[in-house]
Amino acid sequence: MKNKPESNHIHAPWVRPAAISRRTVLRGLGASLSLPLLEAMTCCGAEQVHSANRMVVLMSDLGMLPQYWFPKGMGFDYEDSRYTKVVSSFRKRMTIVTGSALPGVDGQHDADICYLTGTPRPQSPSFRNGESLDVFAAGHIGNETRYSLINTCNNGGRSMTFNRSGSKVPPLNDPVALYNKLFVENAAQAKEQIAKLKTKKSILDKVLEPSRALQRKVSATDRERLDQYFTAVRDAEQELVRAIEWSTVPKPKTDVTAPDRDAYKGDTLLISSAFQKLISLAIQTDQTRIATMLVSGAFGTTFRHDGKEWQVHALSHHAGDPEKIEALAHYEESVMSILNALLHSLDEVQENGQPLLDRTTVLFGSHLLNGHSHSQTNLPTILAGGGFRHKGLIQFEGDGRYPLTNLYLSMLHKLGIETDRFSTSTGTMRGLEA
Amino acid sequence: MRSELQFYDGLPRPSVGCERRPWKAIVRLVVIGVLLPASVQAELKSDVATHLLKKHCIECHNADKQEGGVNFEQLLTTELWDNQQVWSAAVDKVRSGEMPPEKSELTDKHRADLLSSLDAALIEAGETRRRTVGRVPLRRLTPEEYEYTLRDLLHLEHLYVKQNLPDQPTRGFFDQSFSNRAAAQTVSPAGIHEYVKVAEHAINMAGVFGEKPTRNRFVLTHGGFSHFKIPVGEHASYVGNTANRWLGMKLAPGERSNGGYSGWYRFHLKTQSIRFNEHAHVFEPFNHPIYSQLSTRTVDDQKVNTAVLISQPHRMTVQDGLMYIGRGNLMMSFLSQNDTGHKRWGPGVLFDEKESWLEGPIIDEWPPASYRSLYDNLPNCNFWDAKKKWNAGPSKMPEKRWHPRGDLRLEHARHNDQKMANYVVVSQKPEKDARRLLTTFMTRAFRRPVKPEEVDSYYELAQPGIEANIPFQDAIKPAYLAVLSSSEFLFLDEQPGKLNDFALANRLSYFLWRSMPDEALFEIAKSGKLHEPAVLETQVDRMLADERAERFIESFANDWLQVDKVQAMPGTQNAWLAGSMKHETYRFLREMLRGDHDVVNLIDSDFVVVDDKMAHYYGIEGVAGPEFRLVRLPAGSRRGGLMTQASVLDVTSEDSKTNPILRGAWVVRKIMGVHIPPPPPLPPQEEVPEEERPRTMREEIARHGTVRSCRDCHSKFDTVGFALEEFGPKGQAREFYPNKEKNKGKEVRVSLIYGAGSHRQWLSDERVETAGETHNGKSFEDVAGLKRILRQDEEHFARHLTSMLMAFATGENVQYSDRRDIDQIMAAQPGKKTLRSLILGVIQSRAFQEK
Repeated sequence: MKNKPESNHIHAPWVRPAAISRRTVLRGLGASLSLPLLEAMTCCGAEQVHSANRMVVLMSDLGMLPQYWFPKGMGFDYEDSRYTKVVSSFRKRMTIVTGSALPGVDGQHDADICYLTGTPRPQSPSFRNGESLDVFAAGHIGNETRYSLINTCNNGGRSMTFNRSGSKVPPLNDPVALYNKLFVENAAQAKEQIAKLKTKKSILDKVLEPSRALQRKVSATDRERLDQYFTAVRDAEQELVRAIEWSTVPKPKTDVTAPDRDAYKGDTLLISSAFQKLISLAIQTDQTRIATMLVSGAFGTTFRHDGKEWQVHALSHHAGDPEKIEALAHYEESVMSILNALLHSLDEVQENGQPLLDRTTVLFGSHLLNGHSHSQTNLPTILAGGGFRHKGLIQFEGDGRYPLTNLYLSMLHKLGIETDRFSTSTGTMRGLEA
Repeated sequence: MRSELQFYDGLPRPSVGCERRPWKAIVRLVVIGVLLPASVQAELKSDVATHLLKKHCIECHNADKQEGGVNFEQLLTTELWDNQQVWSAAVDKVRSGEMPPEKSELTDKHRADLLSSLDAALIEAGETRRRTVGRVPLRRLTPEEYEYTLRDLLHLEHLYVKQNLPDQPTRGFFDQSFSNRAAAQTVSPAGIHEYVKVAEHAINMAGVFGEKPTRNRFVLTHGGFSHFKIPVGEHASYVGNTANRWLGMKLAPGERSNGGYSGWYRFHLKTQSIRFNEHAHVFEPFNHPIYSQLSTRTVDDQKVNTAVLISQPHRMTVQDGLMYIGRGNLMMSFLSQNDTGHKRWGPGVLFDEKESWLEGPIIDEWPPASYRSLYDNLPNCNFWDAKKKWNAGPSKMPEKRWHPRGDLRLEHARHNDQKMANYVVVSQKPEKDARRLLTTFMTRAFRRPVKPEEVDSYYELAQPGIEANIPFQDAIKPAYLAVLSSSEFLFLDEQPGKLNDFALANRLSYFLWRSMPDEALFEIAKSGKLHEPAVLETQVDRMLADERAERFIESFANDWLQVDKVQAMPGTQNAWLAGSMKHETYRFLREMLRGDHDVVNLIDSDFVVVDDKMAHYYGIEGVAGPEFRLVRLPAGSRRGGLMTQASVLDVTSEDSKTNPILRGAWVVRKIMGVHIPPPPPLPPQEEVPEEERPRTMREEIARHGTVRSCRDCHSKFDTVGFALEEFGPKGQAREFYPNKEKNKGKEVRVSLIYGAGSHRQWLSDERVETAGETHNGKSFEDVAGLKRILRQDEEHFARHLTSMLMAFATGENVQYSDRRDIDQIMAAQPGKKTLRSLILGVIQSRAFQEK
């Protein structure tokens, strides 16, 4: 569409008063904002300092070839597998979890929507997804930044991010769009922009007014459905309120040039890598504190390797063919490199004298063990950073079904979010002290 | 004495032997009555059924074992309705004798008792549900329905927005749901922004300003934009075998235009197919006709196909017709590729430019209907003229937006888009006009009469703009946007029980036209006569005869048969074939609707509906021209019915090879209506050593039989797909499997694409074997045998088709308690059943006329 106004893809259920003083500060700093921004912020005292206040999730939805994934050993004395070798420089600051799964979550490829929600039985006809971990965290700690949450996917609209009413939050699937969101200003149109936002807000306010006609005799179950709609409208309206407030705050400047669509077209690894770089920048410039990246191989994504173009999902059903296995291993190793780059990018920036990595909880994993058998137990999982007392390689006994949602609860606690449970969790993750 | 209140059908009833203090029982009754939810749901409370289930079924279907995923221990304690699918399956299995397994001691009498009490309980639960909340939850417009509704509301012929809307429906692969199933719909906050954006876009598209475009004659240009043409002499040029080349247009000599405009044009094109020898630089004769796809871009930049140009060999021929030309002018791409592989030159089209012309735009009314749907008879003019002409005009310039006049990219013509940016809609009495326009708009958008208070409420959004004297179109726009984003527009207003006439009109039009009721239907609803059987039947026939019924056919075919998944690499010969393959299925269904054919023709027919390409593909001779027409199949042809159509065979295959399991599952699900649950997660796979790997496809599939959890379901459909093995992955007929390696085995020349020569193929010596058997043990030798077996149970197929029509028509799958409605529809048509008669039956049913 021509002249499509740029959408502010942000998600914030509510705005806390404390956030305003930070915005005022940023406004005052004006156009002089640039990397690194964080040092400038710590003088204000407007923030509460927890031991960790950021979260990044990287999910690769076809699992990992088990023979190259599982390291051998225990604790910090393990022999690196082909994949863990890629991130070996972070050995002491990560925990590799084996033997866990998402309780009750079946559905194979379609269960990617449950990775961060943990809601069981995604294929049952009455399935309604729950709130995902990133949205839940953003609701508590996401309001200080322009964007409370950024979620990306390299493949269409597949998403792990679901809001309170169980509706999917569509991901960004174009790195150029993310770049524009983060760095591109249009000061000349700012005033017009604000007027437009206010008009939009008034439109949504009108939509929210109780409509007597439709709600008159609607049954309880139908009212629930209508409420889902109104919740969405309310949330959208709140987003506009936030956007209006943030519209006068300048975006940070960067030397990094915009990604080149032609360069990475058709190669899912290049797209994912572009997203990783932008997400690192977004966190470093404090434009968001919660980011999730879905690296999707299902279905139809391709990458180039060894002079050929490979289709990822087809490779995952290699049926033992050595050439395909090697190509798949290259793919998965590249995903590990993306994780490695992410960890490095967070490590090289400091906040309050601490590397940002220590204040960022990074979760890497998949909702499948491996794409060939579609098994969903003993999921590949790495927890890194966040100031945890890491344990290296840990193993839970049983048949690979220790609740992964316990890890999510531990992550939330580390972020300073007080809650008794998250989804199907039975407690915090055993053995992982904060 | 203790009193025990027993519940039967959710209603409390004191048992024999009441307490000495009756008031306590009364209090309990009252308390429970208050606590019972308004929508009364209950667990299975039949003693008979519970007893029999515990005796004969729980041994395997308990919490520990959960055979087949069924656990009666849990099911007996949960709401009947929540698990009604499992209960329905259980009833069906007990009725057919599949369950309990043979060694059980269930007597015939007890089986009958069990069935009748389960049946009664399920029907009662269904009836209660219908009474309290309705069969169908609140239904929101799907992206497709929204797009069609906007087109009809704003009278916009070309509006392509559904892909921009969020919450794209997913087709339930395992539960056969249609994409308009209400229960599966969700809305996300980002989705709301998209709705507002799309509505704004549509309003921009509809508001076409300016003076009526002149009707002019245009000629094709000799160079210029179309630099992929080679001039031939003074008045001709040749366009080579390429993809997407411009055909330049300019005003004919002596013509004056006020700017060119997107719209319908009459065309008269004189062409011939010819070959250009690139090496010798000469033109040579070419022996085949060349089909070219002409396309254009709509005003909002969507590429659409507009006409097919057929150039005959050896002599110039003229083609006349009407086509839509948008802002992108005309582009031409070749649909058949000669096997010499020349991509740029080689075979091409020679245009006689002296005798080829276009004329238009052909405009019936001005301002167009889309403008009047928003602004009625209010004039529009230049911002500065407004004050001069009417002494009424805004004091501010209009909001910047692109203008949809969609100027053609003509050589030497003025461009008007910028001029239109200064145009404003003029109203001398803006408040009065705004209220009047809003009343009409809201009545149509909400699909019911609106009250003055409602208009007042939405007018509040227009008021600030009107008071500030901004251009009228900008002032009223927020009100329109709010109307188009409101729940009244996006949701269908249906109340439990019998639907009122407006709700019935909605259901009808969203079923048959995928959009809002038209004026005529709305008037009948207003008169309160729509539910009268004779009136209803007349309307149904009127709607089926209308060209908007095509939307129903396409939607239904896409959901049921997944026709829209037919794909081909763009720019290759297959792209064209893919289009014909899709259209064959749509036209076949249209023929089923319009002709008086028994529905059994969907299984097997003695006719097909084809164009020349599909006729050639199927080996039918004597069909020329790109129009689709009914052709009787020669004796012995296996192409009758749906399952042997190329589109179906294509979507049930992988890219380069067939998949009998997919095809078998397709036949069993789509034609036989058997439910196939999703596969369970696989146990870890061990690697199979080289020597033990299966050699043939049949051996591979037979492995399912070795694993119990696979066999239970796969035995139902694995071998059915063998019948279709005589058709390759793109539906082409074959006797031998192709060789995996090139240049080995028997070489044959295959000509699949009409007019595109032939290509080489290598065959292995593995012959295609098509024998197999259905899940109820009937065996067949080939697809003709399979079709014969399926035809034996015509009633069953008709029921299945009716269930699907009902699901599509109402927005919810057919549940156990809806089977009675299907029974009644079947009983009312004991003889021949046509698609029309089944549709009418569905519309006359209780399930359709109640929520």
